[in-house]
Amino acid sequence: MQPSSLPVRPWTGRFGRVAFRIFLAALIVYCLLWPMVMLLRGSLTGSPFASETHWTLSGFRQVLGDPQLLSNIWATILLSVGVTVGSLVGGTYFAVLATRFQTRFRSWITPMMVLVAATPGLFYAISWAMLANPSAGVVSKLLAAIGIGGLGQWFNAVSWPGMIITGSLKVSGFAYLFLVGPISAADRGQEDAAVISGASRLNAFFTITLPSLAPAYFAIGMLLIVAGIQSFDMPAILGLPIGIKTLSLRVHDYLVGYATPNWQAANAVAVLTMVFVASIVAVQIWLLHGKDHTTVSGKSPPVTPLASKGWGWLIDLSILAFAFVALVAPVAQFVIGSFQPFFGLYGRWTLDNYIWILNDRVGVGALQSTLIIAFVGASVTVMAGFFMAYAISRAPASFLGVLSRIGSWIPATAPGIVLSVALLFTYIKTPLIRDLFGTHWLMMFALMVGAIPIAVRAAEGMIAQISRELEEAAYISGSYPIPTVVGIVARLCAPSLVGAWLLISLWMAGTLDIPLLLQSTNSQTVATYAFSLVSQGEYSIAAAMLVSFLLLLAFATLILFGIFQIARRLFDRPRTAASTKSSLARENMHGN
Amino acid sequence: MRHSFFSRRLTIAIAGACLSVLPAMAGLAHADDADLKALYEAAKSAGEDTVSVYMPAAASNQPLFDIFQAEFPGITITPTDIFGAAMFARLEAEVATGKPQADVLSSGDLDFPTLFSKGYLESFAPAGVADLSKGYVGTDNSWYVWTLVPVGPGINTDMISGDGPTSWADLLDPALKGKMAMTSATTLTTSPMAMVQALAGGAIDDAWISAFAAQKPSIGKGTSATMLSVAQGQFAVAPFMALTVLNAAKAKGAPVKFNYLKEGNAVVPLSVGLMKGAPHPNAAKLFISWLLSPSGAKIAAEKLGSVGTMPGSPEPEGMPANHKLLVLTGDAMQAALKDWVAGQAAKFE
Repeated sequence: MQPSSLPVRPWTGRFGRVAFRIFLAALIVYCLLWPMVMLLRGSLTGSPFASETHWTLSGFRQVLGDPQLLSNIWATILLSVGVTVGSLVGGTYFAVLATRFQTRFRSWITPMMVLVAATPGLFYAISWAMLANPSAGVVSKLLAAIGIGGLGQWFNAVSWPGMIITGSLKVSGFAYLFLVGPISAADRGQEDAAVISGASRLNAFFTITLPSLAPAYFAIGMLLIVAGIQSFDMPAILGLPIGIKTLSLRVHDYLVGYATPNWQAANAVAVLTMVFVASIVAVQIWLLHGKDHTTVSGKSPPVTPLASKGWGWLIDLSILAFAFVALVAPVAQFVIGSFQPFFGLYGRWTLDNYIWILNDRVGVGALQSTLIIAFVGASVTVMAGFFMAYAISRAPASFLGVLSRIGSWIPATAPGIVLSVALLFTYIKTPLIRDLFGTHWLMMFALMVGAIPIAVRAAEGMIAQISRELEEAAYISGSYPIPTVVGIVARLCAPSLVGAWLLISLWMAGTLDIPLLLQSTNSQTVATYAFSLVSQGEYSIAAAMLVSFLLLLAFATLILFGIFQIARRLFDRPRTAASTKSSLARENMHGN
Repeated sequence: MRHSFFSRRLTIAIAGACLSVLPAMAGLAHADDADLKALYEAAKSAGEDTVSVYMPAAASNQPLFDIFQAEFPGITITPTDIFGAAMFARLEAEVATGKPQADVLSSGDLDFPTLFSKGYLESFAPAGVADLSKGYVGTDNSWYVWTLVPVGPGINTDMISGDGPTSWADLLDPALKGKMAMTSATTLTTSPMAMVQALAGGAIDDAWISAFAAQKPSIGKGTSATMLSVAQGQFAVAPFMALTVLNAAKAKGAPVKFNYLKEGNAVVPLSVGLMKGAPHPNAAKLFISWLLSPSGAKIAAEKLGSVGTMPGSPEPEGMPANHKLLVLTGDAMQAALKDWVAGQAAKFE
């Protein structure tokens, strides 16, 4: 059933529907598309706060004549390619283990990778900056304790290799989640044939199965490269102290790295970075569009995991080692660091960092703001993403469907700091919205815009799996569109939406770049405040701040979950009783 | 303590420096308790319970804030660690949206002519400030250099046995090559500020700069990050460390110490100004007046290790008697740094 033939409430009418759609379209244009126009305008004018507009190309002239530009581009490419290659190797290894081998800890892999992927990049970067600090980290201290302290100098996260390895560990989670589907679904027929013909299983996998997955690898690799170009927190914590500046950091550098902010140059770099990313996305679409990349056929026998023989313990050990390195060690370092009076000072433990936070008005405010953003912002984003995904899925050719599709991709192509500049220009130039500057509501709004692509992608796949017949049945029974979409489609999507909500909550809490230019003294998020503390060398307080936030988030989530469970029992009980009565009545009727 | 000035305001500054050796006049020069009490009452009457202060290395100034809050119950200092371009961007946004959040701006003296030219500062004369050396007073009484933070070698005591560098010449010791960390010498940070003051004061010369650059000091992201790297033992010496930042690390147990240098130490002149349209103007005036009062100067010396600019201000513990401070402020500092960027800075690239 097409949307145009859906039943409508008598009080809405055709005019009401059209007006509502225009309103939604205007909202999508303002929130997701207009900021990019404002960014382009900003690159030709300068400061968003200037009362007069002077059109100029001087920003582009400065940037293109800047001798640092080339090194910024190389740093960006090296970081994104390095992390992409590292994470694809890690992701492939664990995806193969999860789908092909029968080992004791196989079931740990997916939850472990989800946790690694969900951990905010800023938390990860700060933790590794502490953990692999050549003179103060736990690693170097342990090595020194066993008499090989000299090796500690090699464990330095604040370095090129450190940044790429740390980034690869973090992004391996995403790479695994993207790869596990294609690898488990790959046609094993040819590989089995090669094994029967005498090839080893390993050889057959590398020479036959893996090349057949080349299109999937290409698509995922491009996605990860784009994410690498956009990353801000990892290079800001692990690269900036040693002078590594990616394009995202260069935007920020033009604003805070000199005597006064250079808006024209910052905006020009932002636009050039955006064009760079858009070009890569365009190449990806062009290369993959309209080609047959079938790797899954109906002829393949069901995949039976290989029983590991004598070397199974080695696989288990590698799973445990990854869990330790990627999850346990960073968390342990955070907790240990938060109890140190001064990061790197072992042997003295204190609660001072936690007391400091509780007595710090801005710190407490940051915890409160971030909790509000994580709960309210993530909830609204998931709802908005669901409705946009619904429009994309059910009415792809309609104006709203097309607009939703374009709008859901635009923020994904903009690095966070670029989005931050674009949104700043948009909000400052909009009456009423401008009045929200300096409040956490505006930061929440910006983070919602940044999270829309995640919310839409999470809902899109699930909606596509829900048959339209269910909605049509509801309409035939007299139901109206919104109750149908919410009561049937959203309800069936609930597990995915809850997962998306959790992911977006953590993402919003840990995202540094998007709220960076919208923060104010009285409105900070945990991420912006932790970054400020780290910049002052206060790693221990920053660790205490992040540990406090994660505990608060877990506590608040548990409370909400508890309330939800109680509410469900209260509301379900009468309905169950009623339905039981009616079934009994029906049975009696039939019996009679 | 001797303040060695090298500015166009030399004569006036020397006169100010002379005043500093007349401690008998100290009580007359500062804001007295009655002035502070009147401002406190005004702040309380206006319901002003906080002062938002924008400044660099805010965390290291916490002892100062704690004592202010104890002396004036009900008024809390809310510090924000921000300075330079980031501060300008923040203020630009606040002014443009008509909602200033800063009450007091305290930063390196270099930022203040720009803050003034952009119209961010409110003219305000704290009680007793007439006795402050003119070299420390900004245009139209819009800002004041309230304290001088000594800058010198911060030393990791676990890594350096003995005294460590006690003269500018000691910093050229080949044994320190590759073991020192400092802030960028090519942008306007503490390191070039210290070196231009030492050059102007005759403590070092061009040959010293070349020899020091050849020591290959590592570049830290900022003063706090540099302090952290020395405290953790990544580097042995931070040659241009602000004493306030070092003291904050030391108070938390870091194995560090500060050395005064025979030829004299450079300083970071910290200025303070009242933000135009400040949301808490009375409390802000109270805080600025307190900073320039005998109480403020005493606490700054005791807790932070900085030297108040008002005549008769006490010296921090450990500073040698009649120790020479190499001071450049205002136009003189700007001109010297301009020359530095055009010439000597290239040696560190």
